[in-house]
Amino acid sequence: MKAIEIRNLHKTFSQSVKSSSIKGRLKQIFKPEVKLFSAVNGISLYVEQGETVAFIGPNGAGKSTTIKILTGILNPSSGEAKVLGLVPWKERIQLAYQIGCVFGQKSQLWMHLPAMDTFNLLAKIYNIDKKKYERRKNELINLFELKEFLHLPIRKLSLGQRMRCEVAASLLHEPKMIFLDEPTIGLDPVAKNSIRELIKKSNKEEGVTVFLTSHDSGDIEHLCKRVVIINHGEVIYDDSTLALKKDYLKKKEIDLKLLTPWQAVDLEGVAIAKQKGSGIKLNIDLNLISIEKAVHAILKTNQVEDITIQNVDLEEIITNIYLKKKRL
Amino acid sequence: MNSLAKYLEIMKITLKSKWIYVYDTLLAQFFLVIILFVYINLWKMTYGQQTIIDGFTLPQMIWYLVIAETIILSMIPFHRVLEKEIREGEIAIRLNKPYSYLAFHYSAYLGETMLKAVVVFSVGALFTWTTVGTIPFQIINIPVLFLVFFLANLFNFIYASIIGLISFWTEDITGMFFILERAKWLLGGFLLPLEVFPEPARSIAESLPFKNFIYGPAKLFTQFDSHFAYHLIGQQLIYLALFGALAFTLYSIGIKRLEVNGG
Repeated sequence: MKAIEIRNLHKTFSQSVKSSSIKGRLKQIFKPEVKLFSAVNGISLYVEQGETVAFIGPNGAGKSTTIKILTGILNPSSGEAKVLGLVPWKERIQLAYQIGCVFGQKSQLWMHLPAMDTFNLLAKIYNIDKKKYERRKNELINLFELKEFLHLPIRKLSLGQRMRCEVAASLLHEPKMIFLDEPTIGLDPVAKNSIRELIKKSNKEEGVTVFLTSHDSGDIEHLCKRVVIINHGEVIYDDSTLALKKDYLKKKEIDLKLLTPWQAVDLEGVAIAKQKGSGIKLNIDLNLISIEKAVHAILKTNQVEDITIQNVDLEEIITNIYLKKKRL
Repeated sequence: MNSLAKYLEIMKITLKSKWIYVYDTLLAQFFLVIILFVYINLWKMTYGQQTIIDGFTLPQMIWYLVIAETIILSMIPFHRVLEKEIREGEIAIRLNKPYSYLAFHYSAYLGETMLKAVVVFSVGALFTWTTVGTIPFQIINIPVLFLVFFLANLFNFIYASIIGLISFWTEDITGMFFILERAKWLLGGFLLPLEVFPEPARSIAESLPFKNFIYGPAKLFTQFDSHFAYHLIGQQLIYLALFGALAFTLYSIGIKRLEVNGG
């Protein structure tokens, strides 16, 4: 049995259009204007059990809508989908026993109470046997290192500590599959790493299928072996993370503010993307040169006032994939 | 059995979470004391030398008000909870768990309103007892009174749910709630027993279901009568079944057209 089977899935939303004029508004009382837009546009996708899949795309691409259909929250407009053999919108409750969900921007924890209270509640909600619950709870407390703040109200925890509790809460009933929607949003690098390690561990040790959406390329690189990119509700890329890294993620951008005119650096993998006044933007191909070597060479030949190193924007990656597809 | 345990736990955790603000709830009852103070003085003036008006003595009239206030002030604006969850997408957190969405909310509602009802009744009863005294009361009637209050509380939840669930179709339900809720209060006998209403207001109020969930419990507390109790419980159950079916139908249709767009 596959973890996820999606065939030609569609979801159309309707949005009421508001007129800016008073006359238009009055007219809309009797004849409301509705605009339809397609959030998911014919997605087909298969995920094996135990796989780690990054489901990415720009804002409004249809990622969260797809996750909400797969978790039984939304009904699709048409198409078929099965998660762990169940039709999510028809068998929501049966499916809920087998999946875990983490929505980075929405909390399932009770803010005024310690995490332990939410854990106790979830044990009852998922009908977890008392002995099994005690064992699992202690396991997660140790794995996620929750002991020191387990008895503090959630509202008093840092975002990183809260997210550790969120993920632990989602794994309490030993789900076969976990849906993670932006699990590291707003976290500092240390907290991000810790969350990634924990999710990775659950996948490795317990075989939990991971289905993740994120804007952070670090999440994708560290956690997922497969990447599915969607845009305008359609799958535009489906391959291994290794292939994506080789083709697109192995690029960085260096922004420089120079004190003296630019002295060219003759290195393979370093190319000028933009130059204006004392500012210069360089593209670094990490397949050809390490970032350390490139920075070292630049600083050796130039006097730099300021330097910023950043990943290539996801939007840019998607544009490149589009262009490549068009060329084919 | 497992189902009941999960809903009891939801009620328990809500109670625990709201208990943190029990002093705030207690302080908010200053408003109740003012209402009672004003009404006690108004009724004292109205009664003058009379001992009974429309079948109620002065202490009965004030205790009636305490019970009606307990039913109404212990309510929470649940329609707003539903509206917010549907509009802002927080419903996603609820629907990915193995429970009924409405039963989850009812358990939480019961936990919160129970705490508020105890606080409102305690403050109101203490103030009324010290100002107008007690009324005849038999401990044996407590189970029936509890059942009647419990059913009134359930009706308030279903009524607010029906209004809240309209959020599946409309963007703003505040105005609608304001009108429908005030209609329930006024025609349900929130401030005055129906016997005091002038015609045709009394006939209109008598023909509506609201009287069974405000006037009925308050009157039963002040003038307990077993025949009236049986009739009241029967009426409550009929309207609960009708309104419950309406809420369930709205939910079943609405959930299919839920539009939670974005992350």
